[in-house]
Amino acid sequence: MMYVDIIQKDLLASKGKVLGVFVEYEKTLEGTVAEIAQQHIPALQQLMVDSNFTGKAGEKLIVPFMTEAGVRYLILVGLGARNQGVWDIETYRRAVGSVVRELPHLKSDTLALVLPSAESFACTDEYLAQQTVIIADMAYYHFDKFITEASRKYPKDLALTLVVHNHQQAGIEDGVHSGKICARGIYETRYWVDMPPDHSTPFDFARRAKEIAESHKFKISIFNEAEVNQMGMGGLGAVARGSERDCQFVVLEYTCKKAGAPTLGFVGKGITFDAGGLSLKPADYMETMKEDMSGAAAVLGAMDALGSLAPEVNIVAVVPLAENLPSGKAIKPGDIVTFYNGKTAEILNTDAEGRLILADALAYAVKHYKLDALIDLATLTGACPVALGHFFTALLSEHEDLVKRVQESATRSGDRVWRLPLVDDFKPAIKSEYADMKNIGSRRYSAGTITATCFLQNFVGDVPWVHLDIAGTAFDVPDISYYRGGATGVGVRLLIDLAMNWK
Amino acid sequence: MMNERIVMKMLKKYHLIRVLVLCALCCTQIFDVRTHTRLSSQPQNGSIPAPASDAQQQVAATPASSEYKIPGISEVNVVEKDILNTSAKCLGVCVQEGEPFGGVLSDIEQKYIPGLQQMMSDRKFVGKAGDKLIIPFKYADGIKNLFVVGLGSKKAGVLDIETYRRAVGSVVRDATDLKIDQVAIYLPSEKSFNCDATYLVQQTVVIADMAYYCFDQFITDKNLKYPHDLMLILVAQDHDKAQITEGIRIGKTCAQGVRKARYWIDLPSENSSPEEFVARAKELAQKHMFDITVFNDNEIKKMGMGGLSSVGQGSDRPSRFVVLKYTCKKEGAPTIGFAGKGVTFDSGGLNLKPTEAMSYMKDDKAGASIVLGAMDALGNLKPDVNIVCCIPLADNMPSGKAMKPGDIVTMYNGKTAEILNTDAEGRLILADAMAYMVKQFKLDAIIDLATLTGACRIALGPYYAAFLSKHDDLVARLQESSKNSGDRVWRLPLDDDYKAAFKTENADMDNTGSKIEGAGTIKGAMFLQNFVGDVPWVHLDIANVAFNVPNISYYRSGATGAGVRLLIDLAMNWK
Repeated sequence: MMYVDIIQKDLLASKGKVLGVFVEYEKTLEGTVAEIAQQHIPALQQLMVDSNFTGKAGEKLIVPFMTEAGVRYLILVGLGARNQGVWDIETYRRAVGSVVRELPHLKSDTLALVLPSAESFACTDEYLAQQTVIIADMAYYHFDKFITEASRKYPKDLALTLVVHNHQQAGIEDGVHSGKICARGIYETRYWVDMPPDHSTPFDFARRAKEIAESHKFKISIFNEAEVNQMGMGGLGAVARGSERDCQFVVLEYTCKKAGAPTLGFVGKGITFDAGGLSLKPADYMETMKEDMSGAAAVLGAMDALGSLAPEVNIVAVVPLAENLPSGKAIKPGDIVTFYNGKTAEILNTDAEGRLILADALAYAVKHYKLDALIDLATLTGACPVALGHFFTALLSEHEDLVKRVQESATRSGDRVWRLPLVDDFKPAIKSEYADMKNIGSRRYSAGTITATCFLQNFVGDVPWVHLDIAGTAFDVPDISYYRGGATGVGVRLLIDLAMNWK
Repeated sequence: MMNERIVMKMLKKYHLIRVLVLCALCCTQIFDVRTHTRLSSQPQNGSIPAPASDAQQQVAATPASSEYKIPGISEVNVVEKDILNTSAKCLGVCVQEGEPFGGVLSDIEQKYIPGLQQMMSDRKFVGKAGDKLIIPFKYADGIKNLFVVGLGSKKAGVLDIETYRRAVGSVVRDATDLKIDQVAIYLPSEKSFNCDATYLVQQTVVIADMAYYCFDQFITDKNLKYPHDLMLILVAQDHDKAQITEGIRIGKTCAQGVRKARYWIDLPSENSSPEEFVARAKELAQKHMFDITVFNDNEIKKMGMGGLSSVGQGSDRPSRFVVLKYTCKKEGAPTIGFAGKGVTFDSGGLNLKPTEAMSYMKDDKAGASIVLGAMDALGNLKPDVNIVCCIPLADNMPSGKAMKPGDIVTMYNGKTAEILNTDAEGRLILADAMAYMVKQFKLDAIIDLATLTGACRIALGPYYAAFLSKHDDLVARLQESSKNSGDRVWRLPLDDDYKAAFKTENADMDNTGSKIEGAGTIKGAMFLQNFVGDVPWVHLDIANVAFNVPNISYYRSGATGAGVRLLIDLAMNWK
């Protein structure tokens, strides 16, 4: 949880024990920080020179000082030089993140940030405040539910003070409001991804979806394994078979107030644990496989936020949930399954299971709803991080208009995406002699991320559709100050932005 | 009886492969399989006390002609009338999807193949991309074959040129399989492709030549040999003559460049040492009056090219560094640089590749071959731009003198790199080549081509070369040339976030980017970025497209020559 208040100008008037100030490259300090320096830290200028602090992006200087209220810490953090008069918002996000990340070391749960002017980012006050709040919350996130050692626990709640000067109060307040809501959705998502697989089973997840539905008055349908099989969802049914736990198929519907509004479909892969099935993963690769429901968690987290933000667009969220485990009942390589839309696939690798459950979910979404766009998120392929590493989510689509919208939302929200080619040349890769397709691409085509998308393409009909492979970005992303090891909540910011800006 | 140990070995290997495939496909966990990054080894020169000559050695070019004739077009003729009255044993006709039966096909039906239209509908031939039909018929005293191929339907009023390329390719390939060496192709209207006849003819000629190419130098069974000269007959009933002539001229020239590049890539490493590469470069230089400078291994070392020197030191075949220069007639013309990776064999060095990953490592000289092939064409086409080519040539072999993981090398520009994997060698030799380029020449752009990373195929599959750049103007040019030429490219991000991967305590960078997992192709480019200064630069990773690309009619298994057409187009359209 985070508490945010807004004060005018005077940094020392804040409750923050830690005071964060953003510094432009090779610019002298001014305003409230200059006053603090004059009163409390006379050597600040020299200290900056001495520590080679010039305000470059990524640079940080921490200075403790004494006030009547006790010890405080000034953190100067560099934003770099401006490019054509404008700072990069991602640099700012990371600067905010790096200040927040210092709090535990300084044993503080109060922070005051001097908000830069919105003009210096060529954005609105609302957007800047929103980004600040989201990132502060993301950087403060930690998963210590199962840590029992008191000294390793963090204080739960962060109290953040935004110190504004020439900002518009209303814009700042709106930004704080929406920022807190987004932050909650992201928190929720990361929490569920980080949760051990025994605590986030398909059933737990479905229950959480129900809570979200109740709190926002979404329509919800939940199908259990018997129903899933009866409905003809051979993919989801097959994947779930190896586990003792039932799969769950969750459909959430948000209906906006505006009549005749367009409808978006969000689909998230929810493999609550992926052992690979009989095509068992090697131990190394299985270690973090609790994260294989990151897509589902992102969709639910986004829906929780959107329930509060109430965009002017209808949303259908479809979340297939299952465990992929080997057992005497498990699906075997060679098995052929029939999906919800009647198509068949030969399973050659039980560890290519994500596409099987998504196939049914996508087919269900396009059959039961008149969708204007369909976005699916999935930790789908190991090839994805090999291709793009951890800093970009792979995007594949044949629909230019939707691609443009998603790319814009990616830029605005900070959930970066990079497009990979989706062309017919790859279609022969998934041809099977025995069924309509096979669930892995032939080896000579390689390009696992692309061939997986070719597979999914068989289930979306003509609906404009974007597939997001978040296998590289959902978990354990290095070097970004507002993430930690573990879940990143990737996709939540993107989905929220997409829905909020849909016209 | 089968040797049990061998069986066990095979099983083990199978298991390993299975595990690899498995992981690559399904796990969402991040992994970096060693074979996905190509790495290499450096030579240690210690023992050869050859007296260092002056660093630069102007070499008098001596041609070294090979006796093997690479299969390709020997002659292109044009007919306008009486279109079957040629020596061609086959005629290829392209049909647009849904186009009503008529034109040349109804002429043929009337005179030679009664029921042609019905045959087509019987076989469900509708003209889709990839549709084809071969119908033999009697003509005069002999047999001819009609090849009907689909062009697909128009999108936004225009037919897809790539579909046409593949249609031409499939006609020529089918003809080759029937041992036909005289092929007629009925040229469609250039208007349906929204281009001029020069371009259409050029594409037709290039693709026919590419589809005809094969590498049978070492095939001794005469029955498996193809006729080596293709006579292409273009049936042009409604095209501008001057444009056709021009198209043939350009097409034949480009085709020759592509053909040579493929041949050089397909040649076994044994027949393609750094020294043999030098001979080829000299032959080109003499033919086209290029300036050429060749540095031998001692000079390379003395000049401070620690990367190239180290990579080559494990081999008994010494490294070479070739600089070719084409100067155009136009004064004050811009200068562009081409660099091509020339690892004449990549065993991986001490970080030896697994057997399967080493099978086709003769292709690791593709970048160098492509640059040379393109220069052969450009020497004839004479673009209005100066071109400098830098080609580092080395074998990457394990031996008692090979570079070792942990070694630190100093590159030509003074930067240092710690070798963590000797199989990431391409970047080491390119680093020196590009540092040399930007130091010695005033360049307006650099394009480098390299079979650099295994990750490239995992990322993009075999159909798009990866390219990385921060220079949007140059990127726009490249994309335009890619579209014109048919050598497809796809951009990957070159983002500073990946920089942290190269941090090492011991040198300016490591050579693998080991601190961040994955993103091998991106990291390869990030490494190279340290050596290009401020010059606008595009890196092309062709590891995925250079060799063994499936399903494209005008390629075969083996070398594709991908990149030659692109470089030629880029130079010809540089303004």
